[in-house]
Amino acid sequence: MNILYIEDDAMDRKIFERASKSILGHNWFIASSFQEGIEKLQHEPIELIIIDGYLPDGDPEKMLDHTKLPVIVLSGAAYENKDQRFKAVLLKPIQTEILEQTLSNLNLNKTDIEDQPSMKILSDMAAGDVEFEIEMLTIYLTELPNELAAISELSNQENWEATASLVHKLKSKIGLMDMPNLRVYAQEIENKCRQQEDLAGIPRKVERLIRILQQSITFAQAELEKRKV
Amino acid sequence: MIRHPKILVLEDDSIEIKKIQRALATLDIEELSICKNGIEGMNYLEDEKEVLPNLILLDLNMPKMNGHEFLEKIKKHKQFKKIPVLIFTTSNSHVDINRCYENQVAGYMVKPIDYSEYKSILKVVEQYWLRNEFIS
Repeated sequence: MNILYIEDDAMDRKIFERASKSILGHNWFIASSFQEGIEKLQHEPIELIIIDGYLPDGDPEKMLDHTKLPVIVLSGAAYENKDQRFKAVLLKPIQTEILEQTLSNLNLNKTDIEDQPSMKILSDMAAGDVEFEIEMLTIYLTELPNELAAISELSNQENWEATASLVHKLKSKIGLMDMPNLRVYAQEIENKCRQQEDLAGIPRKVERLIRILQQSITFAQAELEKRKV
Repeated sequence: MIRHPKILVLEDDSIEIKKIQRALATLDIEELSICKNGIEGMNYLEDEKEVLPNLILLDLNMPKMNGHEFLEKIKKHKQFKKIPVLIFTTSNSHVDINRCYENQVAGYMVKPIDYSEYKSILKVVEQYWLRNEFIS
């Protein structure tokens, strides 16, 4: 998993690096401020955030406004986890065993790609222009079903190169419906197809991707109906 | 003289096209042409009725002639090779990045999901090229 750790204190970063070094199977990304963390999120395929409880330029609550990714708080003092909005709250100094246990308890790969579609990105883009929203939703609904059918067929035919290209194309639509975790999942499928890795597992992953996107079609249809009234 | 660059965009995805048109319109860029694949792009550049663009914004994953093939083709062309090419793609694969810089791109930008971030990237591009001199 790609994990981002945001911490302004250099010593705490060292402690974290030491604790995380021996935990295998993850890519670690480090940011030294909230802002730098946000930039990393834009440019790296981050899947989980671990954030210091008290940063000068932003706190964990603010992080929840920025992302739908799971967030863990790592704090020097007790930190209130109201409504369990954070996946975990851990205390400093972090130890390898606790970090490892927390990550394996999360079981993130199994659940968190099931993003709910939202109109956030499209509304930002439209800035009140309903005609534009209708136009975009119409493109979405016209193209997506055909693309999903084609992907399913190509992956069953084990045509990995063509599957990769079409899955790549889905990413702009997944982005439009604001589903960042699903986009990471699509990227993973695309990479596996291109590198010809774990080929036996691809059709099942593709089916899952398709199933989640089919739900987004129902959502987009409802949003379109609302706007046509 | 300061003037907005004339941009040629190569992009096949209809949602991405809408998005880029909308973002560039907020930056007062009026001279914008769009081609949906490398072949269309080549035809556009070769069309004598069209003025050559100052800048090309290139997506990589396109049907018919993809971004890499297009790039390799124009970099072999006596005139077209002078037009700066900026990659604008969802791919952050090292293979793609490497291949593009080997073919002398002027920059490589990854498309973010977030629209305001998307706009700010295009704004930086516009601001930078606004201060550049062009051949034509």
